[in-house]
Amino acid sequence: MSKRIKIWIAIGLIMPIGLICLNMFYFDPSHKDPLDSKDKIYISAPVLFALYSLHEDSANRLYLDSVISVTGIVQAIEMKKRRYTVTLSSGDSNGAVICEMDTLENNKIKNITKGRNINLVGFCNGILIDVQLDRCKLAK
Amino acid sequence: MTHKITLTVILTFMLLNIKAQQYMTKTGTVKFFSHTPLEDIKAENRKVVSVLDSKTGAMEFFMLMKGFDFANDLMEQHFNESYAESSKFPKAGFSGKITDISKVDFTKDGTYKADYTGKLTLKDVTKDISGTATFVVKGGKITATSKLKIKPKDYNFVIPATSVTKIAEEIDVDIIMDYTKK
Repeated sequence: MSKRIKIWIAIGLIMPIGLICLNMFYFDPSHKDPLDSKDKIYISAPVLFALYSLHEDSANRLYLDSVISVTGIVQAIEMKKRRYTVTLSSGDSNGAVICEMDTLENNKIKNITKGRNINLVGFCNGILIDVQLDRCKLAK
Repeated sequence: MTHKITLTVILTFMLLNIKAQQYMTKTGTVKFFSHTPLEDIKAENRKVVSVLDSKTGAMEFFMLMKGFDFANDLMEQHFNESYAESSKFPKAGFSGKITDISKVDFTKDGTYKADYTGKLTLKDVTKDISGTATFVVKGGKITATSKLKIKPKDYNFVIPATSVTKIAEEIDVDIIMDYTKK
């Protein structure tokens, strides 16, 4: 086998491995896990909602895109297309903190009931009527 | 900024004016899909707030641009930072009306089709849109669905030259709202 053919075989073997590595590290199909964040902001649902209600822009500067560890009383749990949305009470009838759960949490959420005090960790998207968090997980 | 205040005022007004004939959801879905030979891009927002007035046919929905869920973080980052500029234009919305409300009987179970017109606001750009919606009335609940096509450039979505071939000129948008009476 000539040296040239050996080089081409080596390239042929290395290239797919390189592409797989590139795909894994650069085009990582997964999302960040909020539980892994070292910069979590710890806050209660009533305080988070109150701050957003008082001044949305200031609250966005503090919380938008951040990982929020929010505690609150479960006001509602809704399951839609195999995904849970948990609403935490803000103590204010004008709105709440609505947490869209990661589907990996489905089995754990089954055991959560209305009125229970829980701690969820997720990414803050801002406020419409409710403060919205997504990719939420139950805190460990 | 002015638009942001307007959207907030409309949202507050929506909540204060919910009457007996009004239906609402806080978990409506808006999906979009872009197809090019190089790449398919899809995302969905499942936390869309919407109100439907069964008497007048008025319909409104609002969503946070950051609420769009993509297949991976990189796509989401490009969308929010480069194309949608979601920090600068955090909210998007639609306000419109069913033009032929007589075609839908919201008191009787069934499937109805009706046309609507309205204004869609994205990135502070408001454009007239129209389409046909399907309303499924069942057990006091209403599911409204509609399909739209929008051109990103009409709403000031600036696509960098390096990505022009990866993003369709026309994007398919699916709207799905599961309303309950308020």
